Amino acid sequence: MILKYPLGLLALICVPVIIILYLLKQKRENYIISSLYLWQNALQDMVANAPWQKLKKNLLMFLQILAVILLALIFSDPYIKTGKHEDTDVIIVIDCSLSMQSTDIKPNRFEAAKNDAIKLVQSYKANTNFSVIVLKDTPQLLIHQVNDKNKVIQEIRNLQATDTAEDLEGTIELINTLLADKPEMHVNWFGDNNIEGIDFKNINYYSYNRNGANYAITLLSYRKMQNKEEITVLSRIANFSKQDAELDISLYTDGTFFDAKRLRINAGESQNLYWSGIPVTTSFLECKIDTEDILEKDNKASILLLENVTKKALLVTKKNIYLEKILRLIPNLEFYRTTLDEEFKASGYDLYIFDGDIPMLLPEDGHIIMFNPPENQLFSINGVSEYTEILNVEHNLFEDLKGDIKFNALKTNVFDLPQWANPIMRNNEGIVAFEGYVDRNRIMVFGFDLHETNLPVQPFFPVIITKAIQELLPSGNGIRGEPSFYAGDIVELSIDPKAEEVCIITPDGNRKLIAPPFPVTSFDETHKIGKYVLEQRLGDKTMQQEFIVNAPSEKEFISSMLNNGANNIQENNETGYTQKSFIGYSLKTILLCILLGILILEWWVYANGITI
Amino acid sequence: MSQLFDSSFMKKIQQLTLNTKFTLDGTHAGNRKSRSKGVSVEFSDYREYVPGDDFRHIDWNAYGRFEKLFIKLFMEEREAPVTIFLDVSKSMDWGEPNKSIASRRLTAALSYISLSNFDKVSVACFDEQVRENCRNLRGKFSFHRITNLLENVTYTGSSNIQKAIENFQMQWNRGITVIISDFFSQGSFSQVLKYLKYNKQVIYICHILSPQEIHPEFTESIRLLDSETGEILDITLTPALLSSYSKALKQFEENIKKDCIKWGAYYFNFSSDTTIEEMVKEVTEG
Repeated sequence: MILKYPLGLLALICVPVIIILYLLKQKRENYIISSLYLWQNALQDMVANAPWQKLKKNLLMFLQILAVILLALIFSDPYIKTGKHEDTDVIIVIDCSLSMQSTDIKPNRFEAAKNDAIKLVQSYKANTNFSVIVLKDTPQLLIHQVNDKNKVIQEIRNLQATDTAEDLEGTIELINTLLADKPEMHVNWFGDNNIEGIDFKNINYYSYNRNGANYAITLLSYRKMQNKEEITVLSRIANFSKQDAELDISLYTDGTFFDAKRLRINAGESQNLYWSGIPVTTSFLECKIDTEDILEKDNKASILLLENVTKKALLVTKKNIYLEKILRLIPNLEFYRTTLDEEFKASGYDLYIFDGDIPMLLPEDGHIIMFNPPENQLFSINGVSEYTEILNVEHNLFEDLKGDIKFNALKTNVFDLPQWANPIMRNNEGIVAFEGYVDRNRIMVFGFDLHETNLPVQPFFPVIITKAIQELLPSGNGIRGEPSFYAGDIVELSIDPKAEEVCIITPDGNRKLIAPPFPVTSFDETHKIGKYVLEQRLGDKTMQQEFIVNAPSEKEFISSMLNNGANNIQENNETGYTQKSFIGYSLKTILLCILLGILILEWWVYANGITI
Repeated sequence: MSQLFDSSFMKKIQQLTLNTKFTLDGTHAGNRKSRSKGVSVEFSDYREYVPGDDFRHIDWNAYGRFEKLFIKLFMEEREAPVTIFLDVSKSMDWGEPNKSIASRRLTAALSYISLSNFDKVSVACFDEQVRENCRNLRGKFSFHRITNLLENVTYTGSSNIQKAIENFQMQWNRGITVIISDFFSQGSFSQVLKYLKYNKQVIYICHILSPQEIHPEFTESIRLLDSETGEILDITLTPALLSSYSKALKQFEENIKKDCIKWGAYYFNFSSDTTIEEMVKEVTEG
């Protein structure tokens, strides 16, 4: 028998209360009578003056205790589990997120969950249809409506735990989609997260969480101090356990021990820890928690300190003082200016900016920005708008700016958006700016001449142009932004247009070819924690850029912490998991009928003065 | 005139005196005259002399006429001593109407009737012992002594009927003894009857209970305090307990009645709300 709500058994507290009430005399009103003689004869049970009396065999008391026990059982909603599962359509959800690698259950939560899931599949009838959903950063429907139990078991056996955080909402959405077709499907959920908000009609929840102590480094960042030749590092340490903890934290610079500190953190809280005096020449920082816990992977975090790589840009214009001024201000950018003539031929630049005309043959070794270009083989002009207001559309270029961007133009080209492009700006007649990859080159096109707009006098002009340059020329060799990510993040890439082959070397040493085909703009297989390498081959030259993937502890363990409060989950000591099961035949109705019978019997016994 | 024995009460018992007979033999056949033949002025009958008869009673005139010895028989007239034992323990001072009122009125009524019949009346108030009494009163003029006694008596303590009657110092002659009590008493009631019977008493047992003792009217859970002993008993009044109480009461009355039958006593069972006329009528008519 399984209790759906074991907390209901708390009602059993009433049993000793009833016994105490029978032991304890009632407080009564005094009433003087002529003689007790007849009453004593009637009662034949003299009582002493003590507050307690000997517990007698009292049929009413036994009936009341029985009624309370039944009530407790009813509150607990007991089910009788049937030997063989009767469902014909089953969804199995297996949590593959980082927290499932915790070792509070042996060998770890994930392996225990997999084994139990396999046992469960075996317990179903032969014609059962199984769907398996993998719960990780992006929920995955591993198999759908498969009735081959061996295949299902094999697929579950082959599952690997990831270092990513879980996407609970996405998973629930996916399950709801499946249930929309077949509402009678039974969900079996193997995980360690908080499922309090989940409200499926038929669900078995197998919880693998024994609330072991876990500590994690949830943030590691650095800052170069102005006018000082040193770096300050900030690390944030979180205590995800239920007890306060004193932790030893170490910092390593370029693989060498730098400093260690001891920190006391209250249960469920986090603290910032600062490290100073780190040499500015440091290129790799690693912070570690030396105190043991149930999950080692989130006990360390690391970051790469990027070297400044100088990029080259060529501005092809007759004269554009606005662009020139901004380009001069962008750090680590070597800026050259030239004019376009019939013999224009340029190469060796990372970025080409054409203001007005474009050459017959566009350069292939760098990314390109065009202002007011003529029609060419890459895109066509749909028309010209005059005296128009130009607005932005949603794009990375504007992510640092608040509110909508608006400016006016005397004249602008309106384009047919090419298939390879994403829009950047529009007016009331169509798209006036766009960007996208043509083979390996990223091209950004603005349909207006800056001189014919009031954009250069807008406060957001330098922000937009600087952002556009950064988008096309990231500071690292191919990685946009800081080269530190959390497992499951998408790594935005800015591949060199000259690259012939692009690979990612994963932390376990596997080389994964991601291009060709070109273009390649991102890499999303960051399921494992560790150091990755982006490798670009440009002819004989190979360009490498490392990036770090850290544990997404903060996101992952929030639900785990919430789960600590979910006490209504029944623990199964044999298999090590905790189970919340709603399957089988409910005994509630039967127990209610028995309770009613007992209450009637109690009334009858009371009314007729029957004793034992 | 007190409230207990007001003019209305006096009128009632005077009326009762005219209509009732309370005689020694208990058969209520004559005006305090015994059917036993003896020495008196009123001729009753003749019978033949047998050896052993008092020869002074031989009617010599009849011997002259019939030449046979005849003995003159006369109606024997004697003072019937009437002794009334009234229970004045604390338990008697309880109930609505109070048992003490009913019992004292019955005592007064029976006393008055007896005094009216020229009987010799003694009234003894007892609890564990006879506390107060007035003895051998004759004539109606003595009635005020009885009412004084009854009006001033106090109800205290618990009763021991056997000890009280056996220790009561009096010259027992053949007569009537009335015991008025609720019989929530210590001591053997059977021994009392035996003792009185041994002293040639015609015994009248008047058992008085209040309506609340016959049909208890409590709320569910109460603590009962014994008025005499102060003893405590917690009860929860259930239909089952009420039924058990009724059985106990019935058994209690049955036991008293059985003893009365055994020792030839007359048993009368009254509720304290019974009128004095009904009580007297029942006692005098049997």
